Amino acid sequence: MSIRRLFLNLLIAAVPVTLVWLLLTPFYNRFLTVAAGNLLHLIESPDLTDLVPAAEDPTYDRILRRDFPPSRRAVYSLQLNDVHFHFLLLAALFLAVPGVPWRRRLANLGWASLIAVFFHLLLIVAWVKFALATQLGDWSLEHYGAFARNFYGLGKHLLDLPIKLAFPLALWVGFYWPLLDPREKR
Amino acid sequence: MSPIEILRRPEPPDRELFHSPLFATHVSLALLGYAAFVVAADYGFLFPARNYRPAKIPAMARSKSRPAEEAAKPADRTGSRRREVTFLVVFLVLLAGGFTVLSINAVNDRVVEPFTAGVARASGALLDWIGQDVTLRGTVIENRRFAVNIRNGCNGVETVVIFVSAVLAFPAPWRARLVGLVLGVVAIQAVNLVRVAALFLTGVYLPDFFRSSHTVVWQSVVILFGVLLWIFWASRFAAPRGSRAEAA
Repeated sequence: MSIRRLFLNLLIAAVPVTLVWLLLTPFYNRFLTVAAGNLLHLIESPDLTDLVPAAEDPTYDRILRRDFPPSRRAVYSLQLNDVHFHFLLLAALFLAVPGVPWRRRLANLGWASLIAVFFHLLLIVAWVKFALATQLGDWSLEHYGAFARNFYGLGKHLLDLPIKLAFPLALWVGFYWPLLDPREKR
Repeated sequence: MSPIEILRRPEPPDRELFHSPLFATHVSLALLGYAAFVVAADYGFLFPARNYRPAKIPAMARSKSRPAEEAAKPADRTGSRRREVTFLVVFLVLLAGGFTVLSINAVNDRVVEPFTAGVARASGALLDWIGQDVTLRGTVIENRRFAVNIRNGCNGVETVVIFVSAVLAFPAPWRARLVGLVLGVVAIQAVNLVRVAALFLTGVYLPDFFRSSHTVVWQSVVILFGVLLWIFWASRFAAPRGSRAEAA
């Protein structure tokens, strides 16, 4: 594999990928809000948590608890762009691979994007559970045990930092390992 | 509405439709349809099989040293798949282990915080050198117009851990790993220094762009740099001696 070609392709791919990401982000944020909200309704018991876009900045989602007094109902917020910005890296890396037909690159990117969507939903749910289990002071202590607080805290930490940041690399390796495998180069 | 108009909108369109559970159902069904399309494409139902097979094993198929048929032996593919899975498992374990260790309070206080303070000092020196006249308070860099706090996530440690995990997980001689680790970590920290300085200058001169520059642009640049560095190392330096000429 030509690294120079890969680098040049990355620079070229970065422009359309960024433009597409900017154009789709408002719609994708909306989809994530609705889909992750519905996922929460499915898995929570009792079902009392809502996700809504923040009025002052729709790139943020507010986590609402229906059992809280109206003035304290918004308990936490998370930035959605931060959840899926790694798609820029993912798409640029997948489109930039030299020596692979375009049709193949697009099919691989399709697979990777699909996996990314499910990862984003999982990450948002992890954020919500982390907020409820660890960020609400006495309420968190009352409703979540020590194991649950550590589980959701570490889970969100691992999903939001190492796994999210290494996600493009791991998927790229999963799809294009033969380009790197030393034994196949011999 | 043109794309430019959408980009200029202060906030994304918020239609009543988006709040409907039916909308989510439709989008989910569309996603499933999309998934079915990708699966079909992947298994060659939509495209001729000849477009599929060479791309699956590009490095082997393009090799001039032996015929593609020989390169595509099932036993070879099984071995390659095993090495790939081993790499991914070891990589993810090292990654999760590394970040778990870094999240322990004692490690954070005794290792990460002093390192972050060092990053702040180096960035402050760089900004002073280019005439920003900054002062340092712990991990906070400030001048008359702007202040920035270097925190976890801005110290380049995440990219370093990803790079180190990938280098250690890749099947390569230890000497190549050692060289890759030392040079890679130095290079990533150098790029991170540029990132901190650039973000500070963005805050001073283009404050409206600071947030997106911080969360999206420079984070992507630093991680992409780490990923490219690893791909470069894996394909050039980690390969067995006899294969380098061919790989180049």
